[in-house]
Amino acid sequence: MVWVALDKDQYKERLLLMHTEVPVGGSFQFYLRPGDYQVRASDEKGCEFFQKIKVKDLVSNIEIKMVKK
Amino acid sequence: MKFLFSLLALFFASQALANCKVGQIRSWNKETGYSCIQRFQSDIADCVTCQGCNEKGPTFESLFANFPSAVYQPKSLPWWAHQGNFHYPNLHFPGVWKNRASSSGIDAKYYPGKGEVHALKPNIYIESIHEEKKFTFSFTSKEELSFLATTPPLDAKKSWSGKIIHKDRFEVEDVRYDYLFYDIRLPQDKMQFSRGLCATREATIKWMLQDLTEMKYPAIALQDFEEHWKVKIPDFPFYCIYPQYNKQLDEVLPVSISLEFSNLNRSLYVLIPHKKEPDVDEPQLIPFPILDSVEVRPVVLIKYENMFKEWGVAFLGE
Repeated sequence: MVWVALDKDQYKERLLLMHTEVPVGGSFQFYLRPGDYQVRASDEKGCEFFQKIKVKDLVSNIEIKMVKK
Repeated sequence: MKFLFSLLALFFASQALANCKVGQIRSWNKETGYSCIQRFQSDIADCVTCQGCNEKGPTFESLFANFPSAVYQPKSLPWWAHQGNFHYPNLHFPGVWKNRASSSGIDAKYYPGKGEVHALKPNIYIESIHEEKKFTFSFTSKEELSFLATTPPLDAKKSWSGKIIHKDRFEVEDVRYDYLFYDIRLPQDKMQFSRGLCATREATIKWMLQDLTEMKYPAIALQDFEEHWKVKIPDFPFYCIYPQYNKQLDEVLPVSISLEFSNLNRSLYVLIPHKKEPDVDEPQLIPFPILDSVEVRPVVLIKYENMFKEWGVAFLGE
């Protein structure tokens, strides 16, 4: 599962914008307004990937590829 | 002659049930089916609304009945809902949500693009007779499209190209997908808001599942729909459902499939939440549905070699 949320430390402000299931090896493409975001990828067993991203352009198209190591 | 009268009476009776007069609301519940009413009265309370009325005294759940939905826990949650609850306060909403006095919906300022209708998670499934068959699925609109997300990513021509494998899966760039997915914003004026029905939250989910079942969506599509939307439809007690089928969607978001003997069945349910029982005497931004949506539902009489089926749920956003 890939989660895209506002980059906030406070739980109540960390609003989730979108999330979807992506198979291992698969890719997820999303479009965001300028701002700071958190991208989290997690699986049923609790394995996690976490990345903060800053979007500067008016609309950015970001692609994430899910890989198992 | 008697038979003819009976037939006519049956015809008019069925018409009366299908479409309502002006000043009525078309409603549905699982016990009585469709009816035309002046004011919505649900005979069966939702599990959400009855939490606070336990005669034996307050329970743990009832103490928290008025808290935001993030605290409310449906009995069985998919694994991702537990993780989502842990990290995000609005997991039980379809996106960033704003409650307004007139109409609640998606808070559009957090999303790029244009369009009042936020079509979320349209998923596309496949049922094919082929073990392996190449396909290209393209969004062909000449207008600029406001995608919010897709899985897998679209190419420069706004297409997915790959193979149908094992009759019911997609393979794109050597990765297997149960379904193709996208989120998009669409213009409200291209949608229909006269056909549909109003129901409780629970009945809304049941009706949409029944609608998809009657259109012969595959089991995996129904299972995914129920799992996702049971969690993601906010805890409003009532909803009015305005189904958009091929007629609306092919116009606003045309697609082409480069595969012979294929068919695409599309349904997108636009949901308008209501905090209290819908009442025709109260002015509404979106008119209550009075006409039958089943009348305009796509009917697939021929079984094609490749049956693509798309479902989605949409909310309005400002």
